[in-house]
Amino acid sequence: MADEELAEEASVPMYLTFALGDETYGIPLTRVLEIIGMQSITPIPDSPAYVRGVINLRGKVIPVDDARARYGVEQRAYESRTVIIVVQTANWSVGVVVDRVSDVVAIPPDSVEPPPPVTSRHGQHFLQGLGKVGDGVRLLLDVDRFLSDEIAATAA
Amino acid sequence: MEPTAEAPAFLERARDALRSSGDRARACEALRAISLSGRLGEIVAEALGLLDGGAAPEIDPGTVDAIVAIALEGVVHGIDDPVDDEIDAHLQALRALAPIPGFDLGELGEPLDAPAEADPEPSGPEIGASMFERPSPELVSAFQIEARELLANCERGMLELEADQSATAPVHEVFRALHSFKGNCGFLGFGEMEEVAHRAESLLVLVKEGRRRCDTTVTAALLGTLDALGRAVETAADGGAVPGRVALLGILDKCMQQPTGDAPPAPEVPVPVAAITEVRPQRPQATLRVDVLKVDQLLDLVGELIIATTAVRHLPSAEEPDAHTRASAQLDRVVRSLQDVAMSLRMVPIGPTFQRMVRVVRDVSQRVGKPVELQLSGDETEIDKTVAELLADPLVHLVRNALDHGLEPPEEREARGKPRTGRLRLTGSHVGGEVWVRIEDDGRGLSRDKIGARAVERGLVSREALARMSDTDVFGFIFEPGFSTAEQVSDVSGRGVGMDVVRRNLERVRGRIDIKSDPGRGAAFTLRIPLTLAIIEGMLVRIGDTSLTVPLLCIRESVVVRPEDVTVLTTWQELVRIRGELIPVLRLHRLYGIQSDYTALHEGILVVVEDGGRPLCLFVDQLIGQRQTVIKPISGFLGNVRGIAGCTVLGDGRISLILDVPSLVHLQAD
Repeated sequence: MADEELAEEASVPMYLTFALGDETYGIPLTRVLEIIGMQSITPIPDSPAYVRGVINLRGKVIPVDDARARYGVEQRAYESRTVIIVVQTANWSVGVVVDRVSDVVAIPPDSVEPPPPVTSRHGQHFLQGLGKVGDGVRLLLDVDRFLSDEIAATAA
Repeated sequence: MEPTAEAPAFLERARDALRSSGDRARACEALRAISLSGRLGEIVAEALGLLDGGAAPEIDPGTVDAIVAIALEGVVHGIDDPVDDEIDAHLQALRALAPIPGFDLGELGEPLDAPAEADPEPSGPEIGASMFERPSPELVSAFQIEARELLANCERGMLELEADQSATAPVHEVFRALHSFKGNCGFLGFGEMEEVAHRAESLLVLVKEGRRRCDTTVTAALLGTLDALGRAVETAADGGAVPGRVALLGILDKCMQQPTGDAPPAPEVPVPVAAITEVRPQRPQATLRVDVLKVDQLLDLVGELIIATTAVRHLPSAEEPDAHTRASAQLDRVVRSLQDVAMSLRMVPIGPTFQRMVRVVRDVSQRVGKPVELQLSGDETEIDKTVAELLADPLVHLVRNALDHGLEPPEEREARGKPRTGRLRLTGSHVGGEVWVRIEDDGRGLSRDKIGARAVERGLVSREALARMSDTDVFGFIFEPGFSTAEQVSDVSGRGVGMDVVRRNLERVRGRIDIKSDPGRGAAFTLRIPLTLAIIEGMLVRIGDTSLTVPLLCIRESVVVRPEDVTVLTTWQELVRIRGELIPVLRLHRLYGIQSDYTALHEGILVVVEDGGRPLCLFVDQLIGQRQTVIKPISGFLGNVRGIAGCTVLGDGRISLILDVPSLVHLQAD
């Protein structure tokens, strides 16, 4: 890879994009720890509906959150392309179940627009901005807010 | 090197010289009478050089004594078995005693916060005469670790000494620790610390030799010195300047010059404010001092482990099932021993944590003017090192509170027919799977009315709800942030900040606090902390598809009951009669919304658990068996899950939740 390209890579924020229902979302690549296939999840009693439970990730116990439930998107059965993205938030590591991962894209800051004011759509306040990639739009998530206990408390 | 035959005789003479109190000529004479060759001779020569060399026309009697004392100590130590390091240490100590030209007490008049660099004394660098330009960070941090320990020993000794001023053992202990500290400072070139430590040591020598009565002036000066040195140690990486050095030296000198201890105004050992604010304590490096024996055991066990693993791997299991069983049993045994030893590495006695309270009690009791007798017991109780560290702050707060709010002023105590001196007791003990640390005072006790009124005032609870609350729950309000019933905020406590810390720190180690109060007679706070943070013995139980782990220590028994043993109250609360005792039942499947195999109590199994004497039956489908359980914390992401202490990974990779029995018992009682 040429030097200029490297420099560009380093300066332009990278996002991991994933599909959820009809939309494509993005989260900063620097926050993604790993992507793992669906595995058996131990339910946790007494927890909010969007918390699926906990998984054993090589001896570490990590909570798993369902993005569809979190967004109020209609539930559907997990299938072979359903994966868990393990995300590092400010406070802890959390697994997020998404329909499928799509791509890793670079979105320069000037292609990101601020999120529109809160509409009736669920989960608007988790958005960090709208990233334009080609003709499409990626909904960029603010992972700290998306997966913060504060939001969890209000949603519960 | 060989000790000369007449050694004992010259030592006698030298001791005479010492008793003759600071007479330079006699000291020289006595030292000259000592004829030793080799390294011990070096010490004598060095001492003589100092006394006779005329480096300074005048040497104060205290210093003369110190020189003689150190020289003699060096010779006596080395006479049977000369150790080069020790001799070097003594030589260094002697060199540090070189008279400081230009130092006189007039400097006391100088502003205390004069920055060290601007100090007119030319002695600093000389005394420091360091062999390194600047010690490496590793050396500094090793120095700090040891220095903290040495200074803590000094402080403990000083407090003992303060309590019993005629005691001699603590003087020796303080002297030893301070001497090593000084040696370390010298080695690394921390000139200021070395100088101050040295002056304190000289004062101690006088006390040790009975030439200076140990009174409050001395102990206050020395304790102040230790505090200043403690602060300097934390800034060792930046050169370790001693705050208020000049003043400290002056005070120590003053103490030395008044051999009878005739009332100089008890010096408020000054620590300049400016210096305090400059101190940026670095996070102490997390290290652990471990008995070498334990490490040896650990290595032995690792050896055994390797052998046992090999045995298991190379056994053709199909042909010899018996041998395979034996080998795996052996492996299991080794792993458990290994676990025990590994756990014990982390355990430290609670004593040092208690010891810190001695100082807190002393300081606070002086400040609030209430005499207190502190009783410590169970200080050999071993606790996890992390716990010991986290426990220190809560203890300080509780002790302060007890002194400031709990104990009455002496007059009030007399009026109530109590002894003038308040009593504070700190107890450590192991109870079940927990460590209990108890702080008891014989003061006023907690006032339910006052606390309740304050809680209502702050809108924490309604008046009606308050009336129904148990004492324990009402007392629980004192842990709310900013909660204080103190009419006056003192500099000791009353701002309502401390108790909040107590609760937060305890929660971090899954501990809880019980409060008992007997109005007018005293209060007792019991901090209950789980013994280990990592591994417990657990009973694996099953409800439907879910497996849960119950800590074995909480289990009394597991029973199958007959239908006629079950009684149902009008509140739908089920009770089971076991050997005449009626025990409430908690249906876990209902609490956690799990689909269970059985719903009738007599079909499943009841696990009888207890906490603090209160029993509870947990209704489960099946007992699976006993397991060593490695506790993993539940991610904070999930918040607090009712009745769950954590989770663990089972042999097959699945996850089992660990029940928190005390909180389940509490849940049931509400």
